[in-house]
Amino acid sequence: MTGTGLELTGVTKAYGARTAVDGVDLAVAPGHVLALLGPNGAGKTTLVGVGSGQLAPDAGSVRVAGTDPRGNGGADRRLVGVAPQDIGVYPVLSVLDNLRFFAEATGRSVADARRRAVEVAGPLLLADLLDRRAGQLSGGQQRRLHAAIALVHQPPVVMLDEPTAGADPQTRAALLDVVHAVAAEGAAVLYTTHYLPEVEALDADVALLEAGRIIATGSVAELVARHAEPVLLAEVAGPAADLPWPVGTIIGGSTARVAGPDPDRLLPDVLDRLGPHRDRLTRVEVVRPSLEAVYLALTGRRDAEPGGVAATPDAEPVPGARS
Amino acid sequence: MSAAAVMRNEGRILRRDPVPAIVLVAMPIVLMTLLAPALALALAAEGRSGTSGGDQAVPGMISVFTFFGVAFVGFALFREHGWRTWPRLRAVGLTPRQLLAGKVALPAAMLVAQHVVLFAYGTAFLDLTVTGSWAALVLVSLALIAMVVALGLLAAAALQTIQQLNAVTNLGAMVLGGLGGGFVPVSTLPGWVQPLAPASPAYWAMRGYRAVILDGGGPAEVALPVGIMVAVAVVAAALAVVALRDDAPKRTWG
Repeated sequence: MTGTGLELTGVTKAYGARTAVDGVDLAVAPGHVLALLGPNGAGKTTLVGVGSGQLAPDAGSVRVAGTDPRGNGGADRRLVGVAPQDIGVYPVLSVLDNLRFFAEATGRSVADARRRAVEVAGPLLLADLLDRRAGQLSGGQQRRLHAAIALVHQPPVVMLDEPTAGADPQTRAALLDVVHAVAAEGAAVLYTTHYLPEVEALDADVALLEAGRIIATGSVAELVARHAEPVLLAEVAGPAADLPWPVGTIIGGSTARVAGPDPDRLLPDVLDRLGPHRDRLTRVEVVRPSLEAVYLALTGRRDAEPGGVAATPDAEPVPGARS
Repeated sequence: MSAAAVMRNEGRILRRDPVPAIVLVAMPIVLMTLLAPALALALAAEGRSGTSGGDQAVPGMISVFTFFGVAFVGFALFREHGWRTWPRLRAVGLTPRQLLAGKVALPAAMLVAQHVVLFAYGTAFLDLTVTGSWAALVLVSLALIAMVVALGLLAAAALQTIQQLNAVTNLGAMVLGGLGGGFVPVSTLPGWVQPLAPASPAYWAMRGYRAVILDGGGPAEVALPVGIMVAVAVVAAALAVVALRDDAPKRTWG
């Protein structure tokens, strides 16, 4: 697999008066996975549609492996292997026929398409199901076939739109392994999901999309360092306000929330501060910062902005989120 | 190359579910067999005594049932939306030309096979006698098939729901087929209906068939009906290309 990956520059797409994607810049280099995160309605699927050449942007440009996927009469769309959010397979055809058709449709010979169909079926746990009609597969098996179709012609750019939605753990593990392998072979992978642990499992870079705009990008480690910090959650016997907590501690009844940059220093520092009062501690938990904390912090903060959805005034603070 | 892949895929789908194709041939065979004796009387009433009922029943049922090809072409495109494979076809870079070529090839071949079987059956069992040129008969059939395939493309491009496709197909086959003389000769239709008959595409198919089968005509005698059917085909195909938007939503059962 060769090419220069996926590059979106200033992409805007509106449906009538509603702007779904607004001036998005995005790049995925060959061999890398970019996880596109965002709440429902943020514009992820629209961005996949524009990036794969299925939707024309109102403004901006899209380059896939160096070319416009809508160019050449639409034929260059085959440079992208896309698995849309909704499963799309031929239910009356066998798994093998589904796969080999989409390989043939991209120009492979009948024999080569069959070889490639068998090849892609293996890692997605479909090898024993090649002769079964797609309509007779379980939901997870259909989900794997759906993803396999996107990969069967070995495109230089792969876009998987929530490929594990509703999938069982076996399907999820197989798909993540395949995404790893495809990227290792040199493909640029754009991966949308709501399952944040998948992003960490893929060691993917992240772009956080909200209301059609990219609001944060970077590696998981970078985002966590930038937008979240570890916290220590403590419960004590009696009112927590009586105790000498570090500066900045948030007190609520018998609980305290202590934030600090180093998760390994939080507990020793708190114990030092409490001194002889430490025996009033009934429960202590150190919450390390996570992508989920970043996600909730960023999207929650945006929700509270004018014009957004009002934040709940007495909402619990998100553990690990930098306020 | 990719159009061939689409055509092969259509063939695989047809092999998995051949019932509609079988009905396309079996149903007119049943009807033409049942109607032939009565239609012999209808032809006699036209002053064509001595002809068999098959001379009207076979071309008539062919003219009517060829129009169900509109549904075959239309459904070949609509079901991609129902199965949500339409975005995938677009994603693999199939151009509209490749897609349409692949989609119409199999229905066209099915209609050719339908005509061959029905004319063979009519000749063997219903005393169908082609008094004119077989070449002219083939011309009429090819023009009719081309027209139906193009109308199917237009229906697929212009219609929004599969229910609309079904309605248009039934209207085209049964109402326009009847109006065009597919069931009984136009001369036996009510007097006020007869002037309307040329508005039906089936009328021109029947006019061509009758010229060859009953009047001993050749290519020259079928030139007008063949020309009109080809013209309809060209206009319908052109309108289909204009109307077909590959991102237009279609509602099916999904």
